[in-house]
Amino acid sequence: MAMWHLECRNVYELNAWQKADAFSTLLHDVCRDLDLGRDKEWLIYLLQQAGPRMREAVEKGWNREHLAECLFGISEALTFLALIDYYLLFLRHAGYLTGERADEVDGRLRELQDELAALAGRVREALRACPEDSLSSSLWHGTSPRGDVISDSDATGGLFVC
Amino acid sequence: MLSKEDNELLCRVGPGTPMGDLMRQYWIPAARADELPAPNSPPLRVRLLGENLIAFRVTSGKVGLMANSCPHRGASLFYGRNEAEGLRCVYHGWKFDVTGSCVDMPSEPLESNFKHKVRAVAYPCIERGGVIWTYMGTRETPPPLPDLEPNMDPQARVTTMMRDCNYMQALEGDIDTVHFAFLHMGHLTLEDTYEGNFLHYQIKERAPRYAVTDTEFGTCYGAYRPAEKDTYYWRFANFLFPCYTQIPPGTLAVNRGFRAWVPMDDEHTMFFGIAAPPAGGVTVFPERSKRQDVDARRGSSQRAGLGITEMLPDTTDWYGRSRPKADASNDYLLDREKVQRGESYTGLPSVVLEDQAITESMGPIYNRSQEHLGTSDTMIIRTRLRLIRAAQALRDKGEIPPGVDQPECYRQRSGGVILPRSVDWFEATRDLRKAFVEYPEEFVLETIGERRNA
Repeated sequence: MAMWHLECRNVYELNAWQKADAFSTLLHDVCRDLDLGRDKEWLIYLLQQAGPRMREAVEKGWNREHLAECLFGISEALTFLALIDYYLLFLRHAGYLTGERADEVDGRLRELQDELAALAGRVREALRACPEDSLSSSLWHGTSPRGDVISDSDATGGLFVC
Repeated sequence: MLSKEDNELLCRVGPGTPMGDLMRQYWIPAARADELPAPNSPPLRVRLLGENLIAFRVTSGKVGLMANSCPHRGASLFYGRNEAEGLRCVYHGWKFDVTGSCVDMPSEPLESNFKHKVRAVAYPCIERGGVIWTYMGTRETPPPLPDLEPNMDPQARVTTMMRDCNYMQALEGDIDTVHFAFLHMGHLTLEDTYEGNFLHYQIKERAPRYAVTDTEFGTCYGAYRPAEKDTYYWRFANFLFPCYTQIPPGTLAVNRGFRAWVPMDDEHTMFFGIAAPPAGGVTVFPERSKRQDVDARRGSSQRAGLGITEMLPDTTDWYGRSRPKADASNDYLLDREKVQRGESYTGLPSVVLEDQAITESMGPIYNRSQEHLGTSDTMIIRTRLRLIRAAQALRDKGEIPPGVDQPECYRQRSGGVILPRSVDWFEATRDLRKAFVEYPEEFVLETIGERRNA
């Protein structure tokens, strides 16, 4: 069985998670400042939910049994981002968000999308290298069976090294 | 939810509109080849991208597609005489070939050269796989036809049906995977399914999870549900620029079909369904229900549970082709007793008509400022965004939209597959999603979680 070495044992140390968290906070602030009236309360609700759920998707993916299932979490996070992206377009074009504010959110959203896409790319690379392997929960929460955890600052930049 | 402006941009396809310009970058299906059955057969009225056109097949078999109005005084060329290698306006006898060149102008003096100065609006046509394709763009040399596998198979079947609504809401029905388990199969229970087949997994968990991704051809989604302990059932479907879909029923490894939602104008769409026999001749039915099997054993004409869609005879009207008998004027022949008896979720005569009725019921152009899209609508969201952004990029920067000059990116398949939970869905299906590939039967069965008994 091939060995997996985690770049970040703790999901909270992942760049993608940190950016997701920051974006979720930004989105919360944006929603707080929005006044859409009663008939569009649902939209605020949806956006307020989408931020934390996007962040949680990364966490849940990280905690699944199989490495490949990490991708589900990333996909789900990207799904929430697509939803947010779509509604931001509406808010901007309907005049609920100023151009400047919309640009700021949009820029952060693209950064996060890129980060998640890069993370997915690294997971895929790792899967290609060890297609049959899976992450055991002991490995997930502790050191690898070989005991040599690679630090976050691993110069390879890869999430996993097989 | 879209602002009024974005909705307009997405839906309007007439000449000079951003989406109309985008559509005109591509070859698009104009008619079935058998609608012009023989050389010199009667001309056909074709409404396409908001333009009134006349299709005709000349003596040599070539097809022409020309503006309805004669460039002389605007008489309709539908009444034209289909004569040797051209269509002659019956008003003053001007005759045009398939390129739109005026080849005869008997109303002018013999010595006049006027005919060489006059051209009718004509669009190039190519016939392939039972479809007449046309290019309505501005390039002198049109781009290549898309490599859509089913349309390149001589055994493919082409069906058409007109829909009284905008192309986008019709198309969105195809990429909205969840509706299948409700609109079409909502009346089924687990007892109606065979354990371990695709339908079983769908009924067991009607709301799947999604992975949606942008691609070089448009957008692709994988919807996944738990299958067995170590596996997921995945349904893959595609949107391909500018108006094609590949839907997820069936088996990914062998499916060979695509659907075109061709805008006739802003409020009418011609659906083209093009299906070739399964790749390698491997026929499997991973979604059959027990009810369908009962129907089939009875020799029922209900097309194994999918119902019947009766068609009206074509008329020569602009909107007279490929009309179903069931329409809004007769409530699509709704039979509520079928619902009471548990035979159908909707009481409508067929799966096709369920889609027809529901999308038409949204109005000619759905007002998307009133909708409430959630996470299960992500494929729709991403597809809209791609179309809107591609149309804007073409309008603002002259950027050629995806796929126009990459015919090979259309070599795609859609359908269902069972995958181990430990594999990357996108990589694991990379080959299965490719068109023009055949697999041995044993392998195909494995992809749907079945094995043929020895």
